[in-house]
Amino acid sequence: MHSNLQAAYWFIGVLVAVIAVGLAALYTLKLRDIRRRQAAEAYQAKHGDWFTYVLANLDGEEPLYPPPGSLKPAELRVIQDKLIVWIEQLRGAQQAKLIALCERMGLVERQLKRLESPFEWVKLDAAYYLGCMRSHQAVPGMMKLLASMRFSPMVFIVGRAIAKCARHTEELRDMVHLLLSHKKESQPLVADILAESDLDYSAMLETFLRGGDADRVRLALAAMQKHSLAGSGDLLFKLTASDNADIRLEASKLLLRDAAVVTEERARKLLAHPDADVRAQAAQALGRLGLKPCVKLLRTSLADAEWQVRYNSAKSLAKLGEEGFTALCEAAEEETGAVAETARTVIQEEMKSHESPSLGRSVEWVAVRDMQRFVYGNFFGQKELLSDR
Amino acid sequence: MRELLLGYGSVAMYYVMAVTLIYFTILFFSYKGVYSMIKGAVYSRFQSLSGSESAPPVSLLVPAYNEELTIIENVKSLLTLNYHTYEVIVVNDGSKDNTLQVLIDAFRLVPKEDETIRYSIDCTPIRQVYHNPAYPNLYVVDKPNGGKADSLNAGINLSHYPLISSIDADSLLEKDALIRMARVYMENPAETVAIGGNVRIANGCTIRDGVVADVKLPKKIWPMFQTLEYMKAFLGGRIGWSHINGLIIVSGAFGMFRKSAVIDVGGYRDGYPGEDMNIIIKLHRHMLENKLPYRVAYCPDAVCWTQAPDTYRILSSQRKRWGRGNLKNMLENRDMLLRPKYKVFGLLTMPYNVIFETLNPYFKLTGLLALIGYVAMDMTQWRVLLTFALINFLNGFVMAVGSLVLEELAFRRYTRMRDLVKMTAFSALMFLGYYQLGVLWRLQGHIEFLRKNNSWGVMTRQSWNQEPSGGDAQAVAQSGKIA
Amino acid sequence: MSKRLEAKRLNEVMYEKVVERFWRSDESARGEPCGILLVRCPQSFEETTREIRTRLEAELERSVEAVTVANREAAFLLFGVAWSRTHYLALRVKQELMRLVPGEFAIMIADAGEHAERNPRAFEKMADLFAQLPEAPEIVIFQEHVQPGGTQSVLLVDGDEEMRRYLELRFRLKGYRVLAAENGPQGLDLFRKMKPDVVVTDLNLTGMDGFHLLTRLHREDPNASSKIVVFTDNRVEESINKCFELGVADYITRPFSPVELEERIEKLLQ
Repeated sequence: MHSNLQAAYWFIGVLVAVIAVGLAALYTLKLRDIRRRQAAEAYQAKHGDWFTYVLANLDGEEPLYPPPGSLKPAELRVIQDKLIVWIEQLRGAQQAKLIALCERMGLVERQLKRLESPFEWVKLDAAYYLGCMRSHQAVPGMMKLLASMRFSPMVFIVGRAIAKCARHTEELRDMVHLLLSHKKESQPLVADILAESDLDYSAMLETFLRGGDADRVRLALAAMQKHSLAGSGDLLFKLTASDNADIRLEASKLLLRDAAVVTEERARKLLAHPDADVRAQAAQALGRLGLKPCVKLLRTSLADAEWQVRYNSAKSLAKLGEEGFTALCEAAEEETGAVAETARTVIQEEMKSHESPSLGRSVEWVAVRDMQRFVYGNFFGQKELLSDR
Repeated sequence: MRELLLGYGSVAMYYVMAVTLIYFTILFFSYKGVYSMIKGAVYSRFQSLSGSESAPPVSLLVPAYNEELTIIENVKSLLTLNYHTYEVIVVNDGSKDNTLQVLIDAFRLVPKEDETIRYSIDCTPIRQVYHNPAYPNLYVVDKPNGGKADSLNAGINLSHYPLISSIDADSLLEKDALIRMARVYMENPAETVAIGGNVRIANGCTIRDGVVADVKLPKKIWPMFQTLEYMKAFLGGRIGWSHINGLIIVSGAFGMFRKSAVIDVGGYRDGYPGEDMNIIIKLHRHMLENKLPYRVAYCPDAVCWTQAPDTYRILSSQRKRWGRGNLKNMLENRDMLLRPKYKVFGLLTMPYNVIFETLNPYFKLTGLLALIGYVAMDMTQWRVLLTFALINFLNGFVMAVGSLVLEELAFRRYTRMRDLVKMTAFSALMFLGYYQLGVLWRLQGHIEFLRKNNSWGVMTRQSWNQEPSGGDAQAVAQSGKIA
Repeated sequence: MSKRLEAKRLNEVMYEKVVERFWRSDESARGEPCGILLVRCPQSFEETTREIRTRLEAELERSVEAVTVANREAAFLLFGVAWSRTHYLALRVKQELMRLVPGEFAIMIADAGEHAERNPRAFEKMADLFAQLPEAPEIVIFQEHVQPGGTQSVLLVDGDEEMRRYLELRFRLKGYRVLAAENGPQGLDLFRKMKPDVVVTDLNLTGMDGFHLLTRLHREDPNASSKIVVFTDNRVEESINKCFELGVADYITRPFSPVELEERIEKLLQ
C-alpha cells in the first residue's frame, strides 16, 4: 500500500508543480497581452495625424514620408500592420506609393533579413509581410522556404506571398508546382492564390490545359472560373472526354458558360455523354443560354435514364420560348411513363409559378406567362388541370 | 475485506492518474495543432477570400422545433454572414407553436412551386417549401415532426450546394465563421469530410444586430461552469484529437460536412439523441472500411455562440440526454473497439471514450465508495481518502489551466484581467461539486437508457432578454441544447 | 466681436502677402502651389512661432514667409510647396508644438489654390474657420474646392470603420456631402431621409443582407434617381449579375483604385 500512496504523493507533487508553472505562464501572457494592446492603442493615437496624412496624400507625384521622429520597434510594428491593411485594400498607383513608403521606412529590408532566420516561424512571418509588400527580391528565399515545408495550412500562406511578389510567370509556375506536389486537390485555393498576381499567366494556363497532367488541368480549369481564356472552346470540349470524371464535369461546365462555343453538334454530344452529371449540366445550360435550336435535342433528352437529366431538360424546354414549351406539352400529351411524368411535373411547376403572388413581374415575365398559358390551353384545354389526369 | 476495498480504491486512483496522463497527451497535441491553425488564420484575409469564386458554396441547415420566440432574429443574423454564396434552409420539424407562421410573416414567404425535391436520403416527406425572391438565400421547409436527424436529412435533400453546415436554431454564428471553415476545407478538399466549429457560451455577452458585440463571462454560475467546460472540451480536447484524426464528435451546434460523404453514409440517424456523434462515427467507419484517405478537421477560430441552460433542471436533462446518446453510440459501434482496421479511431478514440467517458461514473463512484468504506473501518487512514480526493481535484484543475493557457495563447476572447481571475477561480471551484454532478447526470442518463426512455427531455425557450446596458442590446433566449 | 476682427486681419495680411508675391515673381513662378500653415497658441506665442519658423526653414532649406496677428495667430505661407509636403510639414510643426506648448494650440493646413491673388474670399473663409477651431492637438484640413456639381451627396454603407473614414475623407476632399452608415438598417434609414445622389454600399453588412438592402432601395426608388454603386469584396459573377438585375448602376470590387472609384462615381453623376 505504501508504494501506492508514495506514487500518489509523487503524482500530486508533479501536478502541483505543473499547475504553478501553468498559472505563472497564464498570467504572464495576460499581462503581456494587455500591455501590448495598450501600447498599440497609444501608438495608433500618437500617429493618427500621420495616418490621415498618408491616406489623404495617396495621389500625386510627391512621395510619402515616414512619421517624424524616431520609432521604437513596437511602434514600427503597429504602423507596419496598419499599412499592410491598406496595401491589401488598394490597387494601382496608390498601392505602389504605400509600398514605396514601406521601403523608405526600411520595413522591407528588415523583413528580408528575417527571412534568413534559422527559425521557421520567423521566416513564415517575414514571408507574409514581404508578400504584402510585393518584394520581388524575396521570391527566391520564399521559394526555398516553400520547398522545405511539410504540408500544413502555412504552405498556402507562403504560396500566396510568392504569387503577390512574382514578376515572371516561371516563378508562378514553380510555386504552383510546389503547392500541387502535396496532392490535396486544393486547386480552387491555388487558383485563388494565382489571382493575386498582376501577371498575365494565360499562356501558362493554356500549357497546363494542353499538357496531360491531371492536377495541372484541374488547376487550369479552376483558374478559368474567373480568368476565362480566349479560344479555349476546343480544348475544353476535348477535355469533356477526359479519363477523370471531375475534369469531364468541370470542362463541360466551363464550356457551357459561353453560348458562342456551344455548337449544336457539341450540345448533341454532351447530351449523349456517358456521365449523367455532364448530361444534366448540359440539359440545364441549354435553357439558361437560350439556345433555341436545341429544342429537338432536349426533347430527346426527356427520355434520359437519369431523373436529373430528364428534369433539367424539361426545365430548359420551358425556358426556350413557345417552341420549347410546345415541345414540352407535346411530350406530356403524347409520351408515356417517365417522359410524360417529368414533362407534367415541370408544366405544373410552371403554371403554378404564374399564380404565386409577390414576385417581381417584368414585361417579359408577363409575355412568357401569356404564351405558356396559351400553349397550355391549346393542349389541355382551359380548365383541365394536369393533376387531374 | 479491507484489503479488497483498498486495492480497488488504489485501482481507481491509478485510473484517475491514467486519465490525467492521456488528457495531457491530447493537450500536447492540441498545442501542436493549434499553431498552424492559428497562424494560418492570422495570415489569411477572410474578407477577401469570402468574396472569391474559389470558396465553395454552402448550404446552412437549421432544424427548428418550437422556436417561434427566437427564430426570426437568428435567421436574420444567419442571412448576413460574410460569404459570397450560401443558402439558409430552415426546417420546421412539425413545431407545435407558430414557428412556421412567424417565419412566413416576417419574411413574407410564399410556397415555392417550381422545384421538385429528390429524396437522396430517407426522411419524412416534405409538406411544402417556402421562399421569397426578396430573400433569395432563404428557404423554409415545412414537414411533419420527425426529430432533429430527420430534419437535417430533409434539409440535405433540398440543399443545392456541395457543402452542408448544420446549425442549431438558437445559436449565432460569427460573421466570418463560414469562410474560416471553408478555408480549412479548401486547403485539403481531397480528404476533408467534416469540420467542427468552436462552440462558445453567449450567456452574459451583449448581442447587437445578431452579432456578439461584447464578450463577457456569464453572471450565473451554471453557464459560468459550462463556459469553462466548453473551453476545456473544445480547445484542450478537440484540437488535439483532430490533430491525430481521432475526433469523435463535431458539435451539432455548428459543423460543416461534405454533402456527398453524408449521403454515402445514409444521412443522419433517427430517433435517438447523439446524432451529431453518430454521423461522425459513421463517417469514420465508412472511410476506413473503404480505405479512403480522409480527415475530420476542426477549426477553432470558426465560432458559434450558443445560449447555455441556466437552470439545474434543464442542464441536468441535457446532460442525461448526452449520457444516453453517448452510451447508445458506444454500444452500437462496439465492433470498432480495438480493431486495427479502424486505426486511430478504433485503437485510441473508441477505447478512450468507452473507458474515460462512458465508464467514468462507475470507476469514480465505486472507487470513492470503496475508499470511504475502507476509511470507515479504520479512521486512522483518512489520509488515503484525502489523497484520492486531491488527485481528482488536481487532475481536473491542471487540465483547466492547460486549456486557459491555450485560449490565452491563441484566441484571447476574454480580454480583461478580472475575467481571467474569475475563470481561474471557477476552474478550481468546478471540481468541488459541479464536476461530480456531471458524473451523476451521466449515470442517470445510463439508467434512463436501460429503462428505454427515449424522450428528448426538458427543453424550454424563453423570449429575448433585454440587456440592461444599451437600448438595442439583446441577449439570445435561454435553452437546452445539444453540443 | 474681437475674435472676428482678428480673423479678418489675419486673412487680410495673408492676402496681401500673396498679392505681393504675385507681383514680384516672374511668369514662370505664377500658378505655383502655395501651402499655408495656420497656428494659434495663446501662450509664449513669439518664442513658439520663432521655433516653428526655424524648424520649417531647416526642413525646406530656405526662408519662409510668416504673418502674425494679435500675438496669438500665425500663418506660414509656403510658396512653391505642394499640398502633400505641406501636410507633412504640419506633422513636424505639430511635433514641435507638442513639445513647446502641449495641448494649448490649434493647427490647420490649407492651400492658396490657383489664382489666389484674385480670390480674397477664400482667405476670409479660411480665417473664419480657423478662428472657430477649438484648441486641440489635431491637424485640421481646410480645402475650398470648386465643387463638381453643387453639393451632391454620397451615402456610404460599409461595416468597416476605417474604410468608411477613408472614403469619407476622400469624398469630402472631392467636394461631396458625405453621409455614412455602418449597417444595413441605418443605411436604409438615411437613404429615406436624405435621398442621396449616390449610394456606395458593401454587400457584406450587418443587420441586413446586402442583396436585401438593394431590393429595398430599388423598391423605395424605382426610377433609380439615386445611383447605386456596389463596392464589395464579393467578386463572384453571379452576385454581380444579381446586383445589376436589382438596378445597380455600377459594381466595383476590392482591392480597388480610389481614383477609379471616384471617376466612376463622377461619371454616374454627370
